Amino acid sequence: MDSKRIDIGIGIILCLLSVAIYLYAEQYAGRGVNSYGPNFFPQALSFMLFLAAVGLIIQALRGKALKNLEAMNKPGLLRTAVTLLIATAYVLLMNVLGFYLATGLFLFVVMTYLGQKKLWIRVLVSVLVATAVYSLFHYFLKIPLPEGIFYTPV
Amino acid sequence: MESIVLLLGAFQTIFSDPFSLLFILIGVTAGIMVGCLPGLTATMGCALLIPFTFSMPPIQGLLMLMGIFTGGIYGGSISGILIRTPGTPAAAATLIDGYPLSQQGEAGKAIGIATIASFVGGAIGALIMALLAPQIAQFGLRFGPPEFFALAIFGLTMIISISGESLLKGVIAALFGLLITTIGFDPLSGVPRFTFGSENLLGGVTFIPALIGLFGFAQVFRNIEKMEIVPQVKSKVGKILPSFKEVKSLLPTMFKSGGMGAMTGSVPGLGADVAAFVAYGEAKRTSKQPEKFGKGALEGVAAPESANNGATGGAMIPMLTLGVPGDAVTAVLLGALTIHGFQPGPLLFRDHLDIVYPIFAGMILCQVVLLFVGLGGARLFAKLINIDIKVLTPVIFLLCIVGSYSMRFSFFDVWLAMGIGVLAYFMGQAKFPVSPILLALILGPMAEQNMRRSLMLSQDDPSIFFTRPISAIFLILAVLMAITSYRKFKKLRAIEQQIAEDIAESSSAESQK
Repeated sequence: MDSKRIDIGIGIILCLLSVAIYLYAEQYAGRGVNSYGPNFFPQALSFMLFLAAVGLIIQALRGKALKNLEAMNKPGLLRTAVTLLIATAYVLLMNVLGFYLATGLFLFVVMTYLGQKKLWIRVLVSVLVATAVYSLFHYFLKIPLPEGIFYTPV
Repeated sequence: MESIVLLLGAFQTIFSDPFSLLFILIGVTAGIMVGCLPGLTATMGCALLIPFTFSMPPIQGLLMLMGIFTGGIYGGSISGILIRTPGTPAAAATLIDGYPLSQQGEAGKAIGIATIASFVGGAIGALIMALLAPQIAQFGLRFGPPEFFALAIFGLTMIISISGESLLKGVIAALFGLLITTIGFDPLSGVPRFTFGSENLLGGVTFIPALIGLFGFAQVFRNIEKMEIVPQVKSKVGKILPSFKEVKSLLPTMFKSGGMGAMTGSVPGLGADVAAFVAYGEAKRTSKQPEKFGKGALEGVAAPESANNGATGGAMIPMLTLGVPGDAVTAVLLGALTIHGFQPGPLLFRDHLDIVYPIFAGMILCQVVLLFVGLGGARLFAKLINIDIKVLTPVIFLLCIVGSYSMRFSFFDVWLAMGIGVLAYFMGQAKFPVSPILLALILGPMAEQNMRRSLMLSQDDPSIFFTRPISAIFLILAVLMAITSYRKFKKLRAIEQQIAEDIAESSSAESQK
């Protein structure tokens, strides 16, 4: 996709979004103490956003869109998406496996996926970092972390 | 005079508690580490380490964050000099002369001068801050809602006009950020807005997840995407300490650039990176041997490094005194102050001198610590650049997740931060700047509440913003600054482009050899 089409696409989405926000904010009208109630700011902003989005579309149509948009790097994008999926699985698994185990696993899997070859580095870093972060948050900062099903209260 | 007494008292407070010094040390060291790793910026470092400061007493937490800020801006120069990749955007000007020095085998000397320049500039910036901020706060005490509204608009205009490559895209990003701030309870009427029935959104989009999304996750995604494109470069250092004579001959440049940096940094919107380029240009213009610039002139390293660290102190001035952050990192510090229960603004200087002066004293101490840690540990920090990004990236990813969780122990916040990260990543792809969103998150509530309060005072008459002199001046300034800074910004872009072309040329010439 060239930058012109991206800009036009974004412009159209923003136009629709701003109209939707404007209409949705209408329900807050008349609930403040004076005529500039809770609806005023969002509606004023969405109006300006609409104008700016129209401006973006016009700019793109006139061919003034910036030429040097980075070309989409497909393998890179895919790698990002997969890592994000692994992270999603990690956050979900944390409630089952507990923070410590899930974290170690997450680090190991992502390092493997990103191509860290040496097994001992992967194992060592996973264990060390998981231990360090867990100790720091659990003992020092006293932030409650999900303990998971393997947790046995002492 | 009174302020000097208070400042000395604050030094005493810090020195009487060894932990405060320890946290400065940790902060500066962590900051340098984050700063010198390409792909981790000073903003990101502060964002990731804020959660660690929650459970600390406010002063210690703030000292650590300021240490990260100071160290982060300096640390960028190390990788700039060694591998021609600025570790943090503010170091982009340093590498112009720093990298040629490194090629001539003088990397150590370049780093040493960068360290000393950072110390000098940072100390000047911190002193200017300590002397100027109370006066500005005094002035700010006279502000009412219309003035604060005008000030918020002024801040936003500045930020939009210099960020990114397209003015329009900056405006869109800022408007988008402002709209995000309207999510949650409206503080003036109590009406929940745009919450779609979710309890998690009643308090609005919380600052930390938004911050980590914008500057943590988004950057991690970019790093993962570019992983195979960016080649890893090995770095070598050599002798660190420059000779006394060299340092002495550079002192005037350092002092001047530090002062200029502090002044540039104190204008909301102009951050450390702009300060560095301005000072570099000035040093080149006034140099006796301008032809040496770009080929390894020591002044070319001293000027931008002194300026960008001077700008850290400068950028703190509007943040502390008026609640308007000077750049993205100070916006993070402002968020941290708020989280610890202190609302930056003129009232902070009336009610919380016990916080304000330790901040000043801490900022000065950070520079001293920076000098020692920088000179002593340069070799170690340089080794860090060789860390395998395949190991580092997953760890940073993890810290982003844990960091966004730890504010409210909430998984909702983790999803929110990841969502914002994905959005910010694609915004970057489409060349929308992200910083205006962060600043809008801070200035949005300030703008809205003060605007509506003003209109309550004036009984719906909008002329209140133009009939009160200070408010009128700010609004006029906003318009004027938007126009002039936009022009200057275009010029600056041209300079940066020129530099980029020069670098491209020289590297293609190198590869032909």
